[in-house]
Amino acid sequence: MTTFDKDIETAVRDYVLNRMTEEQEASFEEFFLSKPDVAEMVTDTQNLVLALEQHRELRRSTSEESVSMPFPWLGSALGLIARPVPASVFASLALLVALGSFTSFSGFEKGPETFEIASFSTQLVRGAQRAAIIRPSDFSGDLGILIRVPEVKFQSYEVQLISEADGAVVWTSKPFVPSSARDALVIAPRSKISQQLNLNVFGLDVAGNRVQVQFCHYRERC
Amino acid sequence: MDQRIKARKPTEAEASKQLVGRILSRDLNAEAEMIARYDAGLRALLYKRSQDRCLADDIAQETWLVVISKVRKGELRDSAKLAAFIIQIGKNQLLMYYRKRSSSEDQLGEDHAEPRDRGLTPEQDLQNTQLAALISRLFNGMSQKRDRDILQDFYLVGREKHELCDEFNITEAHFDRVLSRARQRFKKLWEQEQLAERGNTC
Repeated sequence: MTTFDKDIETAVRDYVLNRMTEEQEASFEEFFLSKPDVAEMVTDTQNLVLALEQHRELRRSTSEESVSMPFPWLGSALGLIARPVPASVFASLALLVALGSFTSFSGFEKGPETFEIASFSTQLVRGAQRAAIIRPSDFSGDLGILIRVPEVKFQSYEVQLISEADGAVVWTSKPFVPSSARDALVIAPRSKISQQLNLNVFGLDVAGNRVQVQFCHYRERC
Repeated sequence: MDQRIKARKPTEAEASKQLVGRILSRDLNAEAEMIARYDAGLRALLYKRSQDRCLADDIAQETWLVVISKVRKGELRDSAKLAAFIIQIGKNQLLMYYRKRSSSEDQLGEDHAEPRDRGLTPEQDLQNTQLAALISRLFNGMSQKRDRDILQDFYLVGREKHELCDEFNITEAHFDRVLSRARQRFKKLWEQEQLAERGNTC
């Protein structure tokens, strides 16, 4: 019997939580490698600990949101998930939850009930980036746009929706500060999006001047 | 008097020597036995280092190709140390992966000058939310608050077993049963979830 056999639960826990010295870790790995049942215990514990950590994080963030959540609608959206809802609504909400780490901002006082994610195609026109918004085919809700800036250079940013027909500014977001991840979720109200639209992103310098910046979809390199 | 002698389970060194000997004599069943014996452990230790289950699975596959090739060629000097040999090759494969990735990112950096995004992807974030939901379901299925406290105190706070046994007035055997039951129940929930997603996790 090895020292690990004496208290296998603690050994597995200590291995998973990185509480072993390098020597102990190497010795434990050699021990469990030839024991599929212990290896399975290690795997199951790794999954369990990861899930417990996520559960704790979610509870923490939820309790913080209840005090100073900048987007109160997120709380009600989370609550909806426990009830049966149409698939399209669920998909939007699931994505909304997934975007918890994004910098999010919108043109709503209370926030939208649901939104749908639109993509956009970009091209350079006379040296300036122009992005045409591509809406989902059955689009009927508010518009969610995921953008990424190449580098966070400005103190804050703004997003504008421009009418393709006459170039008029249809909607401007409130200034927002991107997260270090450079990604942001923009939600524009459905009342502003009855036409073909282009998208512009501006950086605001310390004097409040607008500087047009390059951007891309959050899945792309830019 | 019954003189029958119980068959002794071979030690790890003996089992290792037998497997290596059979692989050297081109016994394909021995290669399959080797993978069945060591694969779960290999994946667990690769996950520990990468924190990425899909990557760990990929590296494990590559590791087996290298291990089989090397053992066949007789490159394992001490046939009693097959486990240590597998671990070393697994670690090297992971290291090579990271070096390769780092080098390709450096090359991309010269061309595109884009800093790497270290935030969670929405997919990872969604997966984390689903994991948290599994724990809620696990906790809802636990009739005793004590069991929930034990899980959190042991795995999250890192308190010691004897301390928790004293506090909750239970034996160490009972404590182990609480953990084991929770793990089994969680595994079942996890597998149901993956089945619902049609196993599309990587």
